[in-house]
Amino acid sequence: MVTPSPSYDRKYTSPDSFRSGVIAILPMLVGTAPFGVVFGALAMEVGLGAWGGQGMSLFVFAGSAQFVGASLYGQGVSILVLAITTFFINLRHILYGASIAPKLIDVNTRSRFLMAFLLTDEAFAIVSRFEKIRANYFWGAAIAMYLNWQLWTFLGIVAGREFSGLVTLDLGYLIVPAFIAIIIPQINGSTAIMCAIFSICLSLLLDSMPHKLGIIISSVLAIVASIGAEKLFLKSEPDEGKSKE
Amino acid sequence: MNIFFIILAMTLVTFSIRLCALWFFSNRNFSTLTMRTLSLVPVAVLTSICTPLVLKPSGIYENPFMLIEFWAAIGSLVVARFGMLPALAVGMGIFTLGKLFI
Repeated sequence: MVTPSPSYDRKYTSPDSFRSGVIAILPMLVGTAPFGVVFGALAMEVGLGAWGGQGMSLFVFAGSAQFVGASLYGQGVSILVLAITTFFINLRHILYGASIAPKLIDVNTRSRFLMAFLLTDEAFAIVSRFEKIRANYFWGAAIAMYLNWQLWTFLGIVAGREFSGLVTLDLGYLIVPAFIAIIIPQINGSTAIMCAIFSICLSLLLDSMPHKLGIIISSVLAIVASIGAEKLFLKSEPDEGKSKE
Repeated sequence: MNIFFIILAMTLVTFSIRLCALWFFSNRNFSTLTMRTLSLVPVAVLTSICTPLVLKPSGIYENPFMLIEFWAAIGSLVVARFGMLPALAVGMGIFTLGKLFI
């Protein structure tokens, strides 16, 4: 079981280093770069313009929501529809916050506000490997991701003026290898294996739901099902759930 | 529609969602069951994000053995234990070569 220890175990505690966070997220920066370019190009194509596209990356900073938001803007939908859609697309971030909040070491309220702003899929994937997360490590990973997204959005805006075909590129797969490398070390016991299998099946079944709702619904159902199965069929596994570096 | 208000609305919604759980779950003591449940979040969410991208890249069911994404994911799975860079190199290598030559 995951139990907070008064003396932090190095093995399960993230490094207290900004640089380590940056280095850890580097492969993700490569994987998300093309998305930033395509988003910038899309912003130009739908009429958001350079300031609108870059502004969305600067303030919203949520890849999937930005893509859908820009597309809906191009279709002329109302702000209310855009806000509701953004809400559902980002709903999975509730799980991210719930997952990392108890793990953060010595982080004050003001810092948590900024952490919430910078909490993306990629930053979560990097820091979630640890049982305890030090602030500097989070900042390194999250700020590198933020700056990376701004840079590639900008380049996409510039390129979008020249190459209109950029928005048709199919880039969905690009982030998968990095996520696989994050997931595999965390599947270290029967319950985690069941959780992964349930997630695979449920996400395929629910993939066609609108606004990416399938992600959060399949995640919640998989967690509930695997915990339920653990209670019913398995004895407790004391070391399970700990991610090993 | 005013772009400023669109960005403002999206920012407020996104930030509120991210903050509420991070706030609510901070500085509280939870039962082992709750911590156990939360420890499964990364596996569940990241698997749910990846699976359709690998097995339903075009949005419809296809024979996975005919999908480049499937074989690239297998390659990443095989080397994932050696770290993120090998997983990325193998996965992206297979994916890129597959897209170029198949």
